[in-house]
Amino acid sequence: MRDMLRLGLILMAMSLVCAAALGFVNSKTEAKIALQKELARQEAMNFVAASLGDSLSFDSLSVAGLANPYSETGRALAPVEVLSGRTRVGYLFTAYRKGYSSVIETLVAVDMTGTIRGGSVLYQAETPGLGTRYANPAWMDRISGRDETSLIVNKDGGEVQAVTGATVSGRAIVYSVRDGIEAMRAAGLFEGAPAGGGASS
Amino acid sequence: MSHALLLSTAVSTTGGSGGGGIAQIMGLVIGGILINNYVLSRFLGICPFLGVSKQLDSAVGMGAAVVFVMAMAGAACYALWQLLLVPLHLEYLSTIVFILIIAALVQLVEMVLLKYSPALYKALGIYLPLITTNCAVLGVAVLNKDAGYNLGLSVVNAVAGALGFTLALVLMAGLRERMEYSDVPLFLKGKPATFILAGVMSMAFLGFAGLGV
Amino acid sequence: MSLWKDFSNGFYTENPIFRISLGMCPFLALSTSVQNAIGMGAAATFVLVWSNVAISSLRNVIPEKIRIPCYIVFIATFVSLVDMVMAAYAPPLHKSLGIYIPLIVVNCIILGRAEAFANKNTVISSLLDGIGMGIGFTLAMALMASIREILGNGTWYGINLLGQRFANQPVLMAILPPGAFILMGYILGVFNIIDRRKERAA
Repeated sequence: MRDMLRLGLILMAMSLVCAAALGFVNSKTEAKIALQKELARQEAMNFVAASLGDSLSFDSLSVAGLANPYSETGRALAPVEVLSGRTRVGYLFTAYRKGYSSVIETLVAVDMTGTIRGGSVLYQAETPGLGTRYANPAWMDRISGRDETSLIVNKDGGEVQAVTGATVSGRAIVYSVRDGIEAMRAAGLFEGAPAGGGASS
Repeated sequence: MSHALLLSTAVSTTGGSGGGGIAQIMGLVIGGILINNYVLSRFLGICPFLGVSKQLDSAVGMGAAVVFVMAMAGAACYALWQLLLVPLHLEYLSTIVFILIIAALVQLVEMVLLKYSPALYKALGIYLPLITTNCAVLGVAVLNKDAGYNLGLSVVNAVAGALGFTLALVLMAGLRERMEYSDVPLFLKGKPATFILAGVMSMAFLGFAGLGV
Repeated sequence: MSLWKDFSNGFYTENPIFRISLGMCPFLALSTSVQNAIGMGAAATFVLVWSNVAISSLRNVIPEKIRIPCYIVFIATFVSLVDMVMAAYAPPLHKSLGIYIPLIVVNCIILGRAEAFANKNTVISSLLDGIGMGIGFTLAMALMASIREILGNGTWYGINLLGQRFANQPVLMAILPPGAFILMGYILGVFNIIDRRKERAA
């Protein structure tokens, strides 16, 4: 009994020393880690919203009467307003929908008419080589310049060319973005009617 | 973004966090056992998978032990995470705390087995204390923490993962027992053949990826 | 020289992956790209070296009965350190390695070397053994990752080697889990052939 107590105390002493060492390192790296996360977020937002204007800044937005098309995934539609100087030039939002094997998160920038001006897949764990093709920035060009009226996958009679063999992932991205824009238009965030344009490819 | 193309497979997030309905539970169960099988998809628990899969009985015994340990570890790690580490802002101690809990639980299982089933204790041999280093046990604790599951979902996730591990283990044991009588090329005899078998099993399990859960 | 042997053992004769079958989990999971493989190899080597040194220097102090839990506490501490430092100074790598960073704790190589070597040998020997095993592990990972990345993605360390047409239709299976298992089987088979040739020649 005495033996076990002694052993237990030695183990606890070692654990405490280790915990203290970790606490020390943690205090040194905590700030840097938080900063890195914020930088990554900013970088993604800047990259996607680049074509909306110069010297952009972002501000959170609370919109009354905004429907949530992403409730199935447990996430919410939360548009961020993009400002160039003091003028609002567009919005950033993340679309969520279950693809083939993961919930795909797509960050999209739209201008004030509701047309897509940039996008990037933030997270996906789809089939490598097939669904992962959508992470390629070049694919995003296929939905640039479109608004919700022309966001239909070719297999469903639309113009957006999905990656062959990965239609489920493609549908998830395209329709989650379309639903987001539709909800935002219904809440009155855009000016004017949909332009209904085609894309660059 | 160039890493995006090289993302590993598996890890299907069931969207959101916290509690969920029966659908989410089914998703975790089917996901853990079939779609993202811990051994054949996520590469967790390979060492015991290769080591204990020679005979069916020890495979079943090991599987049972792992289910027990993982279920309890899932619950205990969740409890300590929510009740101790988060309120005290000691999240960075999670790895140490989790692995110590697992080590203690395995010690407990060892003592229980020695008392109530010495035959199984002997059959499992060194692989019993090695459950501590079974990536699947620590892996599920970390996965639960990252996904933010509540207690119920954590345990479900842990048990599902353990059942998947057991399934893979038992299947492999059955196949290896059969392989004893097969004509394996000399240079592939032993470990190489086991790996190739595992590869074919993994291919079969890939077919579950399309399950709409 | 015995010290050189301690160091070079881990490269081939006692290569942790191919000979002793330790450290399989991260090996199979992270050998999808050379970048991930080297990152994981470096992280594991760091933990292995420090763990060996710490355990070796305290080998006369740690009571026999609780040595395994003590080793685990040390290893977990170093792993948590690596986790924090990587998250702060190399976030992309930290994201790629993901859950496998805390899993370095249960990397059998580290606990295995602690039990089999560090608690019986001097600090210098343990240090060299750690570095050697770590290099062996990293080399094994890099080898597997090279094969898998070239076959399954057409690139090596991100550099496109086999042209765009191949990159559009690569051997997907190499990057998926079955490919890892099957390739490992054949690599071990090759090792068997080499060993047998050596035996016959000797």
